[in-house]
Amino acid sequence: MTVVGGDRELARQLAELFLEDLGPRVTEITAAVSALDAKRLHAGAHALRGSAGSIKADIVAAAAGVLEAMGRASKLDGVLRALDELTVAVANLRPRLVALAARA
Amino acid sequence: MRILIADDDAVTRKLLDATLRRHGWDVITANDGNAAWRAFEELKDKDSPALAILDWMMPGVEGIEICRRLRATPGFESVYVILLTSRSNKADLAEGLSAGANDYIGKPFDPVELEARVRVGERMVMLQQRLNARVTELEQALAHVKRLQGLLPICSYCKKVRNEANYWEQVDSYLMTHSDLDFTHGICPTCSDKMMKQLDESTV
Repeated sequence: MTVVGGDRELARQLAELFLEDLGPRVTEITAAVSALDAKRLHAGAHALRGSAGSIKADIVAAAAGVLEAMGRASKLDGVLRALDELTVAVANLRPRLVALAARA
Repeated sequence: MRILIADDDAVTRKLLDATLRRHGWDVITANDGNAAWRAFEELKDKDSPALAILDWMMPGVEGIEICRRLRATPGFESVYVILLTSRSNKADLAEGLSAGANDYIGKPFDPVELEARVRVGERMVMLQQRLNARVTELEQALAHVKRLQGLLPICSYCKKVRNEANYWEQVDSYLMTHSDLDFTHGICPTCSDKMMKQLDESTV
């Protein structure tokens, strides 16, 4: 709430915007990992980290940050485990955001 | 003051937009670098943004490239640019500032820091505008001043001066041509006395 200065409607809109992009972003990261495409992984994870950081979704941002760093360095050892951690973080965050976005 | 926000991330864009509007700034947004550059071009000579917050990493034209373009384009050189970046190493920041950015904000941004940095930018924009207005005033004033400089040959007896075309002319006509001076004609007391004497002598 500090991010939005106590503005509940803004918080709701941000949750909605984040959720709209969340699916495609996770899909993009998963595809980049499957293809072992470091550049694509870097770009995809960077975008998710930035977005998650903006709404203070720190666990998702941190998990995306690990993948981003792997992509930037083109070192994909352990990338599947990092992807699992991101998937879990996203799964934990999603219901809270869905509830927030649904508030009138 | 009008501010342009360019960020491909809808969440960050919305948050920046709302934060700046809350403080009363006029905000326009662009969802990538190309749209940001188009906005500058379309608003040129109208009400183009005086300050831009540009995400460094965007699809198409990156923030740092827009920054270089602004600095190289007449009319946009003094746009105050804040780069938004998650890069934090000194070499990256130096690169951003060398490209012409005035400042940078780390991502994710802190709303209080954002406001403070934009206020610094606003002060700089206002100073720059005042300075530009002053320079224009001075240029206009200077355009009305013709300066006479150098050596001017003058006849010791009749006081005519030699002009650039090598002709001897009256000093008043020379000055009227070479300055914004205008002469009103009269007779000084000495010449008046002299003339009266001549008149008296000629009548006798």
